Amino acid sequence: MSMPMHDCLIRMVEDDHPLEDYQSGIPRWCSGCGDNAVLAAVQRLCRDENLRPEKLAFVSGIGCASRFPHYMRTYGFHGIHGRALPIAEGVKMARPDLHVFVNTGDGDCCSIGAAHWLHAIRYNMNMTVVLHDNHVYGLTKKQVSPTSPKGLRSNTTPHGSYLDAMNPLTVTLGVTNVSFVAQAVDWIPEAVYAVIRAAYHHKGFSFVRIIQRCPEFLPTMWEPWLRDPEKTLLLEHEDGIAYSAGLQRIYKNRQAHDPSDIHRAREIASSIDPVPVGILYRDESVPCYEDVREAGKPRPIEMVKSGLEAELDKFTVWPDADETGRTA
Amino acid sequence: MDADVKTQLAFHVLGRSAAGGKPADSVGRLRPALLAAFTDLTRLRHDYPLVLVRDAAPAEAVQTLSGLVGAALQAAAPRGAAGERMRRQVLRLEREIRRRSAQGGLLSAVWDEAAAALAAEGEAGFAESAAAARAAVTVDGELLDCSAATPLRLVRHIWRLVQEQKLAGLVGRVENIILDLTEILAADLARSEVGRAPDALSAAVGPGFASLFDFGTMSQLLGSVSASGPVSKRRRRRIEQALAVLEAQPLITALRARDRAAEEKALDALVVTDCAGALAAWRARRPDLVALIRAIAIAELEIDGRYSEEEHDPFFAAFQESSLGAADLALGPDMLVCVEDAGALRRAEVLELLAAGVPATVLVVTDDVLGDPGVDAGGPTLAGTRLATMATGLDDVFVLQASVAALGRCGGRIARGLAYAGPTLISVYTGAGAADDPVPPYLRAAAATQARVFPSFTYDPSAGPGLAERWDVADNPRPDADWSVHPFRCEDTKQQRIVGEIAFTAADLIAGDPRHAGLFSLVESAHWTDAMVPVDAWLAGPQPAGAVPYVPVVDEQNRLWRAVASEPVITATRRAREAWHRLQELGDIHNSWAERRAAADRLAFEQAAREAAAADAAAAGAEAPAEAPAPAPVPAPAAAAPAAAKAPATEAAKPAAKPAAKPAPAPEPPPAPSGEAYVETPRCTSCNACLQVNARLFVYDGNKQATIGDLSAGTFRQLVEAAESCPVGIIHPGEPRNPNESDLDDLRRRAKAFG
Ligand SMILES: Cc1ncc(C[n+]2csc(CCOP(=O)(O)OP(=O)(O)O)c2C)c(N)n1
Ligand code: SF4
Ligand SMILES: [Mg+2]
Repeated sequence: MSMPMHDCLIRMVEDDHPLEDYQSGIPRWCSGCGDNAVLAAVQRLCRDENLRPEKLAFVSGIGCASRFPHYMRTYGFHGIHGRALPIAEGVKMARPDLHVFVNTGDGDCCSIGAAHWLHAIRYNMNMTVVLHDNHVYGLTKKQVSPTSPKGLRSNTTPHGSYLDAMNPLTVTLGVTNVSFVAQAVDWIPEAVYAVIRAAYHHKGFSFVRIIQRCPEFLPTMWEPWLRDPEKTLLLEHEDGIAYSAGLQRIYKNRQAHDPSDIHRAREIASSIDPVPVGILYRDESVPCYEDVREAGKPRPIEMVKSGLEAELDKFTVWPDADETGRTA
Repeated sequence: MDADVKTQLAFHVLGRSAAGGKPADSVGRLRPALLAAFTDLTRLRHDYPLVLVRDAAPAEAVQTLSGLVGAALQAAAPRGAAGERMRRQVLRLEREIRRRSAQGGLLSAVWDEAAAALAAEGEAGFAESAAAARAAVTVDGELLDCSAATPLRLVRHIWRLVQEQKLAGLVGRVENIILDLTEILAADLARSEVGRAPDALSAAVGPGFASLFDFGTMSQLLGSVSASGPVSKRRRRRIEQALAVLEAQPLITALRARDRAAEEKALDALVVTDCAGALAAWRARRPDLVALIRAIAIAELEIDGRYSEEEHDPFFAAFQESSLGAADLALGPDMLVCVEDAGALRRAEVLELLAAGVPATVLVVTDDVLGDPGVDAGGPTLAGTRLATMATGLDDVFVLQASVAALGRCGGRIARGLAYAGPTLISVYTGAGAADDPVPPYLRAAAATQARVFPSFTYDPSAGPGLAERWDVADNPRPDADWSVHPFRCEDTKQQRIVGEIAFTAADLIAGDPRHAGLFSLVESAHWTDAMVPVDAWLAGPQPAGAVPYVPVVDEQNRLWRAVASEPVITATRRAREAWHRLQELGDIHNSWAERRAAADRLAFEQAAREAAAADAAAAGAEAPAEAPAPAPVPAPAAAAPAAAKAPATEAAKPAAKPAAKPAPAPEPPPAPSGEAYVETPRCTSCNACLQVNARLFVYDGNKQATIGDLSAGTFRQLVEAAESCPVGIIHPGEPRNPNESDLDDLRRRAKAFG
């Protein structure tokens, strides 16, 4: 069957976007910071999928990682600390035609924004969420975060932190309506790209945790993993990710994992040594909140106005009442 | 030759009834022996009545009463004896509903009436069972009995739901477009000088707080920061024209105003009863639809900010009806054209309408599949069975053929056909006979499908590019066989019990049609001979000289006769079988091409295996005592799928390769010549470390991953320092290029760590 006219018309003006079309400004992250790897992967994804910059919205909270939207030549919303997700949900609800990305730090997401995180999973709105987990508050110069390793000496825990680290993967996998969970480490760019790409293609709330090195404040934390490929477990599956021959030559510790198996996903997610890389869980059948609520339905201005008026009228003090009611 | 045989043979060949043979209409009404058991359909748990479910998704809008009752019992009947009783009681209720269903009415209402009537008989627990089952039936809708009117009511019901869905989608889309276009113009106004004038600003804020603002200053401020220019005159005109077209569509306007009466009227107008009228109505409606589609196309480009005057102006200037494909025309509601199959002229009209690409569903009902001997004296023509297969030759027409007996199971397929972007033909045999005919239409219709005279099939061009995806003939009895075969017991004319199996062929169907009685000669059991062969066997292969074909029939006293079939009956039956074979092949059952290929491959394979074994034996013969070579595995004949018919001689020995789910990963780039510095680019994390050492020595590639830029732009020291700063250790400094660089020994030592 021939192409519908609308697609033809679009094709007539379709242009390819080189990487530069998605780049904006010079990142102010430290040299060697893992945030750079995520930025490169996301820009590559945009180019490879030929995404239109004006159809993308990057939303973030506050932190080093949350500077992300500044470096994308797309729509962006550098929000307030911990509130990236509710803002992103609002954007998606109002503009379901945009693809929404969220960049959030471990402090931003798992600490001050934790409540929003849980509910965003449950709402399962179609967006790609990247948790830049550097296990520390970077922007504010080294305070302990919920994902910091126990014993970390930081500005807020000079004697070392007291609690075990929270695992964002198992938390996410435990919430109602979870539909996509994946993980990569910033030092394997092929995996970062593949995982974010799979997340982008998943319809629903796709949660990607990137284990990110902060050479400034935790320079050695992941050193053993960088040096020893055996400490990385590549998850592969015909429904998941296939890795290049070159990568397979280096990372021999691989395992087949079916992303539809949530029990196995939870087991794998709990491991830190080896650190699992790949798609842990995916369920395409969970409905998206914006679809349930028919976000694309027309809402004419008159309708919005009359709804607002009706709501406000409930609290209006009418002029008549005003005249008689007001005394002094 | 036996006298009986002679007489029968003479009849078969010449069609003349000699002494000893009774004309078929001499013993009253005859029925095919297999249908003898079905006298009272209300006692038979068959598909009817159907329920036209209200407010359902189109694919679920037709349910069978028995299906609904079965599901309710599954959900509500407890285990054990109590459940058994409930089942029995509710099935009795189902029978009562079936008995009352000819009058139609809502399922819920008829259910209540039937339940009340039976409950009055006072059986213990009946009322409770009925109530429990009733609560478990989750849907409601009109009951539909099996009659000549059934196809239209059923198709119209689903058609209506599909159109409602389509219109709701269209209206939502147009409303959004109108909203967005209006906003573009409103935003432009707000940005314009008029919009920024102090008065306009004041009006926008309203009187409540006007005194708090200095609108003059606000106006100046806003004027100084206007980001982009105004909407061009041409763009404004395009937007306004599109808006005008969208707002002038009467049906859309009515729907936007939620005017149900207008919607009703508009939809009613889309149901027409003649092909010429449909074509004329379509031609009259088309310019409006084309204007609508054009306006939507322009509007969506504008909203998307993608209208390019250079590219799109010439396109829309030359825009005409022929620019539109079926997918575009599927935008509007479709017509429903309902006609009767009234001969060749009507069939030609239908085909012309379908070929014209009209977005319409044509429902053709026929109540005669055999042909009228009053018109065509040469025997059954089967003329009423050809339209649907002919329409599949138009390629882009969705075609569904089914007898009314099968319609209850076709709801999903009909919904698919109605939603198909392009013309659709639904051809239904109603089974309706003359007013005094004792055979119920349901039975006659089911028999036509059983007899392969009116098989069920679907041809769905949207299902894929290949015939295998498009054709579906599975919904037929015994789709793999020539005929459906049934167990049978009866008495002959001497009250002898007869038990056996018989095939139901087109000849059996013809034998049940009194109009064709002259084509048969009845023989009672006293005159049966071994030379008599059932028609299916007769057609299956050559018969000994003197054999005569017959079909078993019963008279009104349920006595069994053999009806010798004359040549025209055999011709018609053979034609039905050939047509069925063609359908089978299209539906990938007994694919003769694949069977031939498989047979050839098998021969070649066996030949190769024999030769290999002979060669092995010859080689081994000299040294060792000859052992019988193990027989080579013989592949199963690949009858069903052509794809399975690979060359087994080469493939069979290898283990089957698993098809690759993903394209093979890209090969690694070749390493740099030894001694020269290089970067393992695919592993670069884009962290900037090396570029900060020297951004000419190291550069990013198109993927923003580092590679060597200009080796002459940097020193060996910088290569080593970059390697040391790289967090993933993928920079390899190689050998120094300049032998005079200072501290080379130390640098070489440090470089060693990086291979
Ligand atoms: C409401 C509020 N509380 C505290 C802060 C201070 N603050 C800024 S960034 C940050 C932590 C960021 O950590 P993380 O989200 O892990 O991002 P990173 O910098 O590590 O990428 C904090 C506590 C703030 N900006 N707003
Ligand atoms: S402080 Fe850490 S996380 Fe922040 S930019 Fe520097 S290296 Fe990256
Ligand atoms: Mg952090």
